[in-house]
Amino acid sequence: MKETEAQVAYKEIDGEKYFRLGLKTGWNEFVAGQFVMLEVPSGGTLLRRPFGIVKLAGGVLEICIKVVGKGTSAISLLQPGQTVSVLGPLGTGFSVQKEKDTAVLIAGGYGVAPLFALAASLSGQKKIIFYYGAKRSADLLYLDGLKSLGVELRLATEDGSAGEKGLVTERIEKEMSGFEGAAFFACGPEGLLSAVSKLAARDNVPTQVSLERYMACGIGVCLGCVVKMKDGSYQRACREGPVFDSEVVLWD
Amino acid sequence: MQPNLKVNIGKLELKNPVMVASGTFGYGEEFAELYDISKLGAVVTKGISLKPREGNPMPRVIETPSGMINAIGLANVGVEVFLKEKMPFLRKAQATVVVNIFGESVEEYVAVALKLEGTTGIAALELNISCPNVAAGGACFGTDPGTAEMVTRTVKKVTSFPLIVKLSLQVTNIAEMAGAVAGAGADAISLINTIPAMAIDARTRRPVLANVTGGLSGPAIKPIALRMVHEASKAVNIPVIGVGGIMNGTDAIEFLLAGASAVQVGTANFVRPTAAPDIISEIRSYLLEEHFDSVNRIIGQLQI
Ligand SMILES: Cc1cc2nc3c(=O)[nH]c(=O)nc-3n(C[C@H](O)[C@H](O)[C@H](O)COP(=O)(O)OP(=O)(O)OC[C@H]3O[C@@H](n4cnc5c(N)ncnc54)[C@H](O)[C@@H]3O)c2cc1C
Ligand SMILES: Cc1cc2nc3c(=O)[nH]c(=O)nc-3n(C[C@H](O)[C@H](O)[C@H](O)COP(=O)(O)O)c2cc1C
Ligand code: FES
Repeated sequence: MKETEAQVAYKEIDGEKYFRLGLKTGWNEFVAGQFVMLEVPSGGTLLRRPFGIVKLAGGVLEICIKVVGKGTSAISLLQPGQTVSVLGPLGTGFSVQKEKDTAVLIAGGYGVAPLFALAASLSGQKKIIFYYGAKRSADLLYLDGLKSLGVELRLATEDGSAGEKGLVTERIEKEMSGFEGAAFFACGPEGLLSAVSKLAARDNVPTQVSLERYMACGIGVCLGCVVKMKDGSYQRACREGPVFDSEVVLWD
Repeated sequence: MQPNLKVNIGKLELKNPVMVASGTFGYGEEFAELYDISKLGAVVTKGISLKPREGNPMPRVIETPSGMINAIGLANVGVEVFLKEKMPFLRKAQATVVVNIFGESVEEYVAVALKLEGTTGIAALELNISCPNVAAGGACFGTDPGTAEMVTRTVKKVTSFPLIVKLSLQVTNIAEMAGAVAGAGADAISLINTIPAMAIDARTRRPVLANVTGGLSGPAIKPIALRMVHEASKAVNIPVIGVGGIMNGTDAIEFLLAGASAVQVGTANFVRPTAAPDIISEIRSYLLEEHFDSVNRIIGQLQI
């Protein structure tokens, strides 16, 4: 974990609500599934905001942000050349079992961020099936990048503007056969994650999910971000997580 | 010449007046990845109870204008695990350790203090009296001067560590409360703890926090904390430790001027992880610029 004043290398707007930021951190390592706490430029908010790491190349870290409120709006005003404090890489990322030859990645919305990183790290080593769901085609990000990683893309949109019409989990359920040698890796809204973990439990597919919690510190000291486990204990999403084995999480 | 930053909290001498506040620094392990925590005036641990506590259901935190509300529910590893698994790290890191303790009964406070007795590496205890007294129907220990005095006196009898009593805000007269715990043998007082508060989501028409209410911290509470520190330090002869919304060196200096002998940095640790060491250097620069050879020269020097 490092705190770095990073210069904004680039900002790319993607559709109405999304933008990608490149940050010159000088960092050279991270595990897919880890995240950063980004300082919100002045006038925005007090606390930092958490974002998944999409990639890190030549010291430039990329994150992809959906504007949803005060903090993300203030961050969207950052311009190339300005600096911002980045704290990371944080948390425990995905751990990939060697014996499984197929990785099924399941993304909803900006949940694509850590799964893009995972796909990049597995590319060429495993067969990657990438399920990706969103409201409409404009909300599907990183499609070109994913194609060039050689993943098998299976899209679903609620309005049918790309891929199959409906929820991505409905598509997975229909196509569930043949995942014996596979493992699931999912990130997205809690509803998607809980549906995926139900399917996985039914068919005994080992599954890791990346969970989102409101975070104050992001480094494990405030205990504000905990996830309830089946054994009754709480674990910190920012430290033991955000990636957990779906079978140890207590789903409600 | 470099100004002298040493301050005394009773018989305890601190390298500098900047401590980190309970509940905002865990047990030191995470921040030690970022900087040398032995450089701090002191590390105040997360509140420790006799038994481990899982804490409140989620959500537990929410940001509010210039602050945040938390309802963690005093989650902690419990005194046994603290001694076995957390204290060795703090000792190795050579941190000046203040153990924050709390209980739901006077007996529990005493039991925790007794378990800590004789442990090397502990510099002082801080008594969090802003928690519900089960025997008194859940009323807070810190709201009634008589109860606060009794807890302080009882723990003081069983501990050989310097005793800091952290006052609750829910009192009508802070001077009377400070006087009561000073009279009961407290070596210092610290204030303020978080302020009871709540947040509501108008769309869902529900409270934001699962616990409904929580404690407000951050810059929003600084002016209140300053006033409390000012009044308390006039009321007692023991050292006062100022806490509440300290984000930078200037904020810390304001507390020292108001009468605090040391300060604790809390929420700022979340915003800028190097806040506490940065504040130490900022205090040093202020003293140099204003030509003070020691931080003690500004403590309580508010000109009215
Ligand atoms: C580990 C982790 C990784 C994340 N990765 C990404 C990412 O790659 N890209 C991205 O766009 N977002 C990501 N998020 C979510 C992002 O942090 C929040 O959207 C952001 O903090 C909202 O800040 P705001 O000030 O704009 O919103 P606020 O003004 O604080 O709130 C606006 C709305 O967003 C909701 N909200 C705020 N914070 C969160 C949160 N942590 N989780 C869920 N809802 C929240 C609020 O309840 C409210 O409804 C991630 C969150 C976590 C915990
Ligand atoms: C997340 C969180 C947890 C806290 N936990 C404790 C605790 O266990 N014991 C305690 O005495 N104070 C606790 N506090 C209060 C702080 O130590 C401090 O008194 C308060 O936050 C005001 O300072 P600040 O505005 O600098 O944060 C906690 C505060 C926060 C924000
Ligand atoms: S966000 Fe503070 S412990 Fe996880």
